[in-house]
This record gives sequence, structure tokens and C-alpha cells, in this order.
Amino acid sequence: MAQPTLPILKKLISTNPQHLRSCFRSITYMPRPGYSGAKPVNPITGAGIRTPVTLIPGDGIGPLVTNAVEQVMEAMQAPVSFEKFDVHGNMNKIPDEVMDSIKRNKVCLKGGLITPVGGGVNSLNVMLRKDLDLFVSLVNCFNFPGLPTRHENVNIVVIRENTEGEYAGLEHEVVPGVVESLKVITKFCSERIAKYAFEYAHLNNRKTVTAVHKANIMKLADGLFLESCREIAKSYPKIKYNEIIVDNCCMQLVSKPEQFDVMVTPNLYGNLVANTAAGIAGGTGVMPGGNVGVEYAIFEQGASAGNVGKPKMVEKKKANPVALLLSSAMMLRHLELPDFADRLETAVKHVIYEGKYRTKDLGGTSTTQEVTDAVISALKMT
Amino acid sequence: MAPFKLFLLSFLFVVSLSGTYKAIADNPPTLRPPPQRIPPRRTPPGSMPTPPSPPQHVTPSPPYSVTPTPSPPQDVMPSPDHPVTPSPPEDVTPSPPHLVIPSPPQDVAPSPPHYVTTSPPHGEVTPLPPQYVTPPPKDVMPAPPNHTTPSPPQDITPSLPSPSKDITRSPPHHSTPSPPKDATSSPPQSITPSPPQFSIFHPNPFPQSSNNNFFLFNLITCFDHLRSFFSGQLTVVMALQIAKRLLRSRATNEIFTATRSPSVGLFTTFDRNYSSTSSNLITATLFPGDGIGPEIAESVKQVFNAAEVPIEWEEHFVGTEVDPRTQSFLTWESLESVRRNKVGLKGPMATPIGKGHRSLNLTLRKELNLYANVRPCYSLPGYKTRYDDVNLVTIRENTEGEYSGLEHQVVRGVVESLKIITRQASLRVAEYAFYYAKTHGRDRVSAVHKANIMQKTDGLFLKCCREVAEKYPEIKYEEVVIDNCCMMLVKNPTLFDVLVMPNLYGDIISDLCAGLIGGLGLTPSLNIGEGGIALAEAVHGSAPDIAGKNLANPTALLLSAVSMLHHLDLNEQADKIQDAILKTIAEGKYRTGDLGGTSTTTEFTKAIIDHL
Repeated sequence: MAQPTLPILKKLISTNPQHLRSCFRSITYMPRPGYSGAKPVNPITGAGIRTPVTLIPGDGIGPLVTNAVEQVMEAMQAPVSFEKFDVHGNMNKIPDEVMDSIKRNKVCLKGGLITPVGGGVNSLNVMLRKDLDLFVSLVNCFNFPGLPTRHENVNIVVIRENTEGEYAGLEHEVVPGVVESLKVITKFCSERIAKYAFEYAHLNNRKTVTAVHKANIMKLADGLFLESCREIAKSYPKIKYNEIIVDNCCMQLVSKPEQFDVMVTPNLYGNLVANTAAGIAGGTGVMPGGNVGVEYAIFEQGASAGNVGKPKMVEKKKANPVALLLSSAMMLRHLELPDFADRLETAVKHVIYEGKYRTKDLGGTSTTQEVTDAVISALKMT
Repeated sequence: MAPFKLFLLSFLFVVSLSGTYKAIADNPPTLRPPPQRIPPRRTPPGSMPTPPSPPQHVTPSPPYSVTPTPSPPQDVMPSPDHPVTPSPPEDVTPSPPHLVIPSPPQDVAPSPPHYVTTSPPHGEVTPLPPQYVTPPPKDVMPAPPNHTTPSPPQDITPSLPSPSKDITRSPPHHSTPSPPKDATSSPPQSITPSPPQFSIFHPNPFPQSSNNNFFLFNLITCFDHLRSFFSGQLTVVMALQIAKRLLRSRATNEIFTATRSPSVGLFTTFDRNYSSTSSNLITATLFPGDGIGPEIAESVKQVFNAAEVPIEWEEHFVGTEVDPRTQSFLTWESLESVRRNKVGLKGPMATPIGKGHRSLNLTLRKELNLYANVRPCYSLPGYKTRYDDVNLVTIRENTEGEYSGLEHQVVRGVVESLKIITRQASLRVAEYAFYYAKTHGRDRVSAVHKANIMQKTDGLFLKCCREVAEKYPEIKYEEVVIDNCCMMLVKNPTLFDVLVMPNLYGDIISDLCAGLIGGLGLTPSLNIGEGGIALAEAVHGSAPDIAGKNLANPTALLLSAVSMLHHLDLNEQADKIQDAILKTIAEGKYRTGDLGGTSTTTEFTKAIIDHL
């Protein structure tokens, strides 16, 4: 008696249209994440629970690609809701409400913010990373099946220290015509980045961690970084550790990239290495990445080159959404929704493999919207 | 009376000419950028009249002509038997590297005198006679932007055959005997006439594009000379100097419309006079180096002999003990020889491990003040890499930036390293970059930076590049952020032409480009120093494991030597040798081990010679 009560009660208080209230369906199909209607539901209010995520469209191609992500998330019916905020690169600082939102949600998805070159404005990207202490910048560079590049077998993760190093921003003019910039390396930051790198390698079944440095010239600074890496390496005996000088590293990346696996670097070298690695594997328009800290995480296009794109690309709406889509897949994993993440990644890779809808940087002629639609239809197929 | 008047007139005329010369010597525009060589590559053969003795007799340079007072070296009074210019080339620019911040007064005066915008440096720069086919004594290195005062005089020293060469060499001070030096010792000689000399031999800063200018100019210099000779009133002379500069600047504008295309009208007359086959040799210093060094140096010598390059090698070896004068294994004599010859070729050197001496590369860099490292990277046809169409040049600032070596530990666990950018060094390297682009027919220069993050340091570098770019309107200038640059380089290297960068970025990008074309074993490199010194080197290691086995690949050293020849303006031979090398590699029959072949060094060399 009690058993049929529940559906009847549900029927009574449900919002079924009046004329259908007399019948209820039996479940004959298998529940699939996002399709079944079995979304997490607040038992009292009946409303679906969606994890709120801060969304910062940004400048340039940012709004375009974040729109693409929104569409795809909607199509996937991922339990993610976006709180959009308007931030532009020429603002002096990140508005407080945005910071509050990020601190509340703990996760953010972001398009690129333009940094005016040479102007007196500090880069908002860097400020965001420092304020939230996102000390890891992760870029995963790998070859896409079906996307021809000059190099094969590339699967590199560049883990770059994100808060100190050359980007400390401490510059001053000693006398007119002589400017100094301080590069600060601390043991604390070096240790935690090394630890993250080894932990990442451990959790993701990676075999080698390579430290990139220039300690033959900057003996103390990069020497300290190397020391920290070596210490941490001792606690992960199963993971191979080696060191390479940054100019040699770039040369090797261009000739034999398959030898690299996880690379851990200080700030500036990481920037260069990440962009080089992204370039050899398909371009920065397709590489996912994110900035991760202890408490917060911000996901954006992996390597920073081409973050905001050129005005022409914005006009013609031909930006490549793949990077941000894959970064949002990373975000879904971070939110512990691996199913959605897998679906999304499979769909995106399928689209690239097919090759019908590719944007200009991959050698095609599609617009962002076309690629997004292709991804959505690929999603529906799987 | 009439004959006397005639005599007086001719005397004045002659005097005016030498006065012109003196004027040039006098006003080393504080920044005397590259004797603007817009030399056409191929000069029609001609004959050069034997020049009379050089006018190194110019009256002692009045203070204003030399680097402005701040620089201490000025105090060296020209001693009678030691005709030293008040300002020795090397020391004027306090070496940026270890930014001895104490030194600012000298060079960091707000907008260092060099770049005082009033002086149109380029106006004064000589469009050098295209071919020093009578290769000049090293003094007249068609030098890149030479920002130390004395350099201009050096450049002005006419290219002369042996007799005068001896004269120029005789002064005991074996760094470039610039005219002023000798001048100081023997003013009376200033009247020694030399009519043809000026127009033909001097890196003529006053392209006499129109007769009017010439005449007017000569009048002025005539007066000028007379005045300084008879009265020595500085202010008047100064006024005349300024007038001259204005004249020059007016005339200058025409220089830069000429490109490297052969014998554009402006220099036709001068070209023809220059291009006779040389009868004298350029002496160049050769450091064979260690490991495979001697073999590949031998290879270079053979190829050069076969190509009949007018270069005579002066070999120096790394010593086995530390020379106290240089604090390293390089002897003082070797360094002096490079300074004297202005040109050098260096093989790979292995720095012995140990303390109490500086690394060899560091010694060379500091002592010779090598401020720019130029690496032309082009794909070798026939050696297949993943990138087939690379053709770019990286020019890297070599003295300061992140590699200043100034580090310290603030507290335990916190280390600071200083990155220093100075206006002077940035200007220097930017000048050289544009000069190089111009003389090698490149049409774009890209400055690589990270000024969106490091706003002041790279911002200063960019500002300097922009300033220099304005002086070269025909060369396209762009700025690229370094991460974009890296990505674009690996995706599409054809996007770039000449890259100019500060030290760290330069290191990484130049090695990246070397990787694009096949590694360090194939990459030439040229270091440019103050005073027009050029030291070509092979950047690979000394490979002790294959030393002495005749297996080494001499390509890098050969290509470096070729770029040295380009620097010396011996473009025909340089091209010939380069073509021979490329053909040999392209054919694929003779390739050394590292290129995937089985030839020995000697076979490879022979193949190149055969192709010549």
C-alpha cells in the first residue's frame, strides 16, 4: 500500500499537465547521465542541483568561445550553472563581486584577458593567479588523432610555477636608462610545484618528470629550484627524474619531443616551453589547461599565446573553441563529474578526427558556431 | 700674384679636403652607427689609384668630438710617442654585463650622449665604399654600430695597400690606430695633401650627391680647418661642426634610399674606384680550439685557400695555464690579436674545470665587449628536418639582461636574481640588428619581448628598438610577445625574418631556431663587439670523443667563417663557399656522421673544394 503511494503523491504534486495526470510512465530506458532526467534533485524543493561555476568571458575571442562552452554544456545537460561576469583586460583590478563569486564557487572558467603591452597596467591574468594563489599552471599538449602535425607521439604535460619567478613584477628604474627586474625564487614555491608535478605524474600514470632550468647561468636562483625538485624526487622513487637546460630543451622539443613526459618549470621558462610544446602538437587553439591552486581552480585555454586572438578572428567568428571545450572537460573532472568529461572529450576528438569542421588554425575554414554544432551533434550520437 | 693666388687656392682646396677628413675624425658622432654600408654586393671591377699617405694626422680631437666628458678615459693625454686617442674604443662604454651600477655616470647619463637626438647619427655614418676590395687594415672594419667614439676614426682610415698599412700599424698602441692618435703626434703633417683620398678611401660620411653640397661643404670645412689650425677657437669650430652635421643629415637622407642592389647611382663613382682585386690580405685571428677544433679549423683553411679568400690566419691557442692578465686560459696576446685584427674565428673550446679562472667564453665576451650574437638560421637544402623553409636571423643581446649573474640569497630559501636592461645596450643591439637587416637585404625586424608582464624592463628594450626603427623607415618593424613567437616559430618559421631580443629570450629562441634547422652542428654564429670586432664561432661542443678521428663535421665552422666573410664584405667569396657547402650537403654523397653519412672530415672538405 505504501509503495504506490509515492508515485501517486508525486503525480499529485507534480507539474504534469492536467490532462496527463492520470497516467505515469514506466522506465524502460537505461538512465544516462544528463539524459535520463535523473538529475540530482533537491529533495525538498525539487529543483535540480547544479554546481555553480564562475564564468568570465574575457576579451577578444573570449566571449565567442565561452558561448560555445555554454551551448555545449547545455546540450550535455551537465549539472553546471554559470555565473557570468564581465571583466576586461583594461580594468585596474578584478571587481570584488567576481572575486567573491570565485571564492564561493571555487571553480572558474575564463576566456583570455588582454594585457596592454608596455602600459602601466598589470596583467589581470597574473593578478588573478597571485591573489588566488593558483600556483600551478598546467598545459596538456598532445597529438590529436587525425590532425596532422610535424611531430608525432607528443604527449607532454607542462607544469609551470605560476606565482613567482620572473613574473614577480618587481621592477624599478635604477637611474634613467637602467632598469632592473627581480626574479624571485623561493624554496616554498619550488617545493610545492615540484610536489604537485610528481603527484600529478603519480596519479596520472606518467613515467618521467623533467625539470627545466638554466642553472649553469643563474646558479642560485635556478639552483634552488633544482634542489627542491631533487628532494621531492626522492620521495617518488618509481618516477624517473631528469633535468634539462632550457635552451637545449627547446631544441629537443623541436626535434625529438617524444622524450618528454611531464615537465616542471619555473615561471618564464614554463611559458615558453608550454607554448612551444603546444605549437608542435597542433597549436594553442586546441590545448587544454588550467591554473590550479589549493583551494581554487581557474580553467582557460592552456597555453597563453593567442588567448585573445586577433580582431579579424573575432569579427569573422572563427575562433577555435576546442581549447576551451577541453579545458571545461578538465573542469568537469575537477568537479568530479568524470562521465560528462569523458563524453565531452570524446565528442571533441571525434570532431577533430573527422576533419570536416575545423577552424583556420587547424587548416580548415569553419566558424566557431559550426564547430560547436558539430560537437553537440557528436555528443548526441554517443 | 696670380701664381700665388693659384697656389693659395689649391692649397686651400687641398686643405679643405683634409679638413673634411679631419672633420670626420673630429666628430665621431658619439654614436657612430654602422658605417652605413649599403654596399652593392657586386662591384664592377675598376682600378684604384694608389692612395697617398693617410691623413692620420688630424689635429688632436678637441674634447667635444670625443665621447662627452663623463667618460674617464678621456684623461689619457695623447703622449707624444704613444699616439693614443683619448678614448680607447673598448672602455668607453662601461661594459654593461655586470652592471656595475656605479658606472652610470658615464653611460647612463639621462639619455646617454650617444643617442642625443640632435646628432643624426646616421647622417654621419658613412655609406662605406662597397667593397673594401683592397681590404682595409683591420682598422677599417666596415663596422657595425660602433658606439664608442673612436670607432668612426677607425672606419675612416682609408683602405690602403700595404705601405700605408704599415704606417697605420706602426703606432705602438696596437689597438686600432685611429687617425686621431697619429694626428695628435704630428699636427704639421695635417697639411699633407690628399685629394683623391678623401673621396675614394674614406668611408665617406658625406655622400656627395650633389656638387653644391660638396662645394659648400668644402668651403665650410676649409674655413673650419683654417680656423682650427690657426686659431683653435672652439666655439666657432663647434658651430661649424653643427653646420656640417646639418649638411650631412640633409645629404644623409639619400643614403638610405639606396639598397643593396648593385651600384645605385649614388655610389657608382665610388664603386668603380674601389673594386680592384686586393693585393693585400686581411689578417684574421683563428682559435682552433679543443677537441675537434683543430681538424675543422684545418678544413676551413683549406676551403679558404681553394676559394682564394684574401685572409691570412693568425693562430692562437688556448694556453695551458692561467694568464694573470686575463684571468683565464686565453692569453693577453690572443685577445690583443683579435682586437688588432678585428676579425676572428673561434672553434669549440672546452673550459677546463677548476677555480681561479674565468670561463673562456666569458673572457672573450668581456674583454672584447661582444654585445651582439648573430645567428643566421636557414634550412640546408638536402638535409631534411621537419622544417624546410626556415630563413631567419636571430640577433641576441649578449651582455646584460637575465644573464648578468647578479644573484643573492635574501633569507634562507629566498633567492633573488637581477635582470638588468640598459638603454645603452638595447640601443646598441637594436642598431646592429637594423644595420644587419639593411646590409643583408632583409626587410623585417621583429623585436621579441614580454613587455606585457615585465613592463619596465622589456618596455625599455622595446622603446629603444622603436627609436632605432624610426631611423630605418624602409625596414618593417614589429613586436612579438615571446610566447606567441615560440608558437609561431614552431608552426610556421617563415613568418620571421630578423629577430632581435634581449639576452635570455635570445638564448632560448636562437637555440630553438638552431633546432629547427638541424642542430648546433650546422649553425653558424657571429659575435659582434665594440670597435667593429667580429668573432665568428662554432657553437657546438668540442666533442672529445671523436677528436682526432677525422669524423667531425666542419659545417658549423665553415658557415661561421662565411658569415665572417659577409661581415668583411667579401660577399662574392662568401657566396661561393656557401653555395659549395650547400651543394655538397644537398648532394648527399659526402656527409659526415652526424648528418647520417659516412664521410670523413677530409673527404667532406675535398668535396666542398671540388664544388668551388
